[in-house]
Amino acid sequence: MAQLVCDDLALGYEGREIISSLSFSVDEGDYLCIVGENGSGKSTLMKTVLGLHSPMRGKVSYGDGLTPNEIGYLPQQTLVQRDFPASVREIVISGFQGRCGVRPFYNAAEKAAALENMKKMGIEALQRRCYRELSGGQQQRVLLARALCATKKMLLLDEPVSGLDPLVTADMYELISSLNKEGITIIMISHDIGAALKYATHVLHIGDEVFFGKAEEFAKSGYDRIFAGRKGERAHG
Amino acid sequence: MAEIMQKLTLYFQYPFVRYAMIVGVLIALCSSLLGVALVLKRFSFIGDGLSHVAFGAMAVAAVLGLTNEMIIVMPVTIICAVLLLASGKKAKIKGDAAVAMISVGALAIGYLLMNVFNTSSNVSGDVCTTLFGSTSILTLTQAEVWICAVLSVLVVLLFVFFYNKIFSVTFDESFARATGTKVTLYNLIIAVIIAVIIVLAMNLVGSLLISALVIFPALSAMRIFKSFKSVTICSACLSVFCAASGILISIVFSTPVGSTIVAVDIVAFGVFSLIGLFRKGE
Amino acid sequence: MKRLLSIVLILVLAVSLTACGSSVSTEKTNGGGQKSVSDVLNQSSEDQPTTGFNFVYGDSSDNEVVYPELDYDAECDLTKLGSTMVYSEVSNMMTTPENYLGKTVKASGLFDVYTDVNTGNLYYACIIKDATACCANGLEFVLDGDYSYPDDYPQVNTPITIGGVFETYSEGEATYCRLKNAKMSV
Repeated sequence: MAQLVCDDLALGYEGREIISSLSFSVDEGDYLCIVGENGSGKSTLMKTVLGLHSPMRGKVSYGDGLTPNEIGYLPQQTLVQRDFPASVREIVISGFQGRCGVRPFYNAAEKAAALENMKKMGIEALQRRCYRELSGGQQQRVLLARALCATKKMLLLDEPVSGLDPLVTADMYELISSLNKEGITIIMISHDIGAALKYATHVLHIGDEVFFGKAEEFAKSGYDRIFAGRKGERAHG
Repeated sequence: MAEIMQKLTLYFQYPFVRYAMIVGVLIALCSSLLGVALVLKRFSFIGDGLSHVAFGAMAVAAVLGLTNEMIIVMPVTIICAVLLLASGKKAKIKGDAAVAMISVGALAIGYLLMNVFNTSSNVSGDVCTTLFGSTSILTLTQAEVWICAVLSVLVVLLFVFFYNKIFSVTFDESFARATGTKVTLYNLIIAVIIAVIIVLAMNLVGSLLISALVIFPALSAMRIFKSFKSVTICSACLSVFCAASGILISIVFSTPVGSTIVAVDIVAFGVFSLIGLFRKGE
Repeated sequence: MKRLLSIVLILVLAVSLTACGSSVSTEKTNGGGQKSVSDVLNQSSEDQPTTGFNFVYGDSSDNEVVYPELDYDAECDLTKLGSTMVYSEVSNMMTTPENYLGKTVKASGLFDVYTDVNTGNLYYACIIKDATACCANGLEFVLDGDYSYPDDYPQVNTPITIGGVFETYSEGEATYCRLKNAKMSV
């Protein structure tokens, strides 16, 4: 049984369908990269998978011991977070909130796990620093550490490298890839076809032409060139 | 100085001064707690909006001739808070417009009702007291003192209990929702707590000045402190300090209580901003 | 949007302020507004309907009565307090008169007089304003001895100090507070 199965999904807002009859599945340990143009519904798809948005048709099912609340999520930065007075430690540990239920405070095990995740992301030295004073790359690591607190199984990343410089971007990709090698399933939204082909095991391209399959097949099929070419046209036009 | 001390000793023999200090400090403590969350949710003006709703409800209560206004004021304010905060994102009329609409609407209707159905003998006095809280904190009845004290303690307890949840919901609502936090429920709780605080704070500074009591301590604390916990603790202490000194200044120098407290808050904000600038410059 | 909101707020505020101001000014000029009179009389009984009081136009320019210095040792000496305190204490007297019954009270304020147009009864009061100057409390008093209005009283709005014993009395269905056996100095 796959961890995540989307069956004949139709997504959209207020009666307007953006995506219709989309089917794909994700197995444990996969690294799926979702690519597509702006407005093709990538973020909507991600929200549907997370249960924040309900599909117009079709069904999202979770299996292989994964429950919907066990998906770690790295959202795009919001405006609020830019001036939120919060220390790195406070943000990372808030990843456990979903599991707390009515319990008001975090327990010792959760505090230790939060520290462990900060070490893994190489930010334990920053734990008392203020989030809004960190660089873009550091902020992403903080949010990634928080996502790790929320899950051991699956991470959803919404454009994790947008706004980062090339060096930090490469770092970030390596970090994500190392998490994937530890056995965490990764689903990532990206604009970056190159990275998708380099790191991902599977690619889902949504838009006018839908493709779902292994990364190698995507490269062979020539979709990547069509996609890249179309982007180029738009940029020139 | 000695003269002022003597005056204070004399004043503190009056039970209503002692009540005012206790209730004032408790109200200031509560109102500062959610300031950070409100400022960051871009809802700074919600205090104003809700306080005008409370004013309108108070007018209705007066027209109906109710002796205990809380029966109407509290539920109406809570309902409006829930409508404004909890439904925020889906509503057709967005954030600030909704707040503005409800706020001025309630203010106008309230004032109109108070004038047309002139049941109270002292309309101008009532309006003034509710808007600016001239001396309401000093003229509370014994029952009101108890209600204020109990509700304030309740608000503080609720805040401590839901502290971590309020943090996650404010910092990143979609992450919290995606990882299984009951965001809607906690937004509802925040809304209810805010409504209670607003109704309480009307006694201290009057409905026009409530926003100041809610946001100034939080904004001041954010100039200097960097973590959510330190900002919250600092703004609570600051708010209590400002309210206490505001009340003392107003009774010694015969100034209106509400405006004096807010003036002290403004001074504190100035001082904290300067310290913040100075630190950044280092 | 915020700017619009603040403009509207200021307008509403202006309206309410003018309302406040007009009420105060009627008291000052003794212009005879019903609202002000009832302000003063009905402080303690908010549920009272307006009973149609009217101001007496004080014409006591030929007043030659000499008032004594008030040498009154009161249990509640409001003359020692700041205006915020005085206003609060008087409000407390009005809301919880039972705590003050039988106590001697001394207070300073402005003299005022009004009459019940139905009965012709005259009432004398010492008006005490709060710090925002929009709320006023009236402390009614009955002088100890035989005095007649206008000859034996000062002009309306004259600052006076009054001392007397706090009591409540009923008139119709309402209960009012006043100082009995009072002494006055101008």
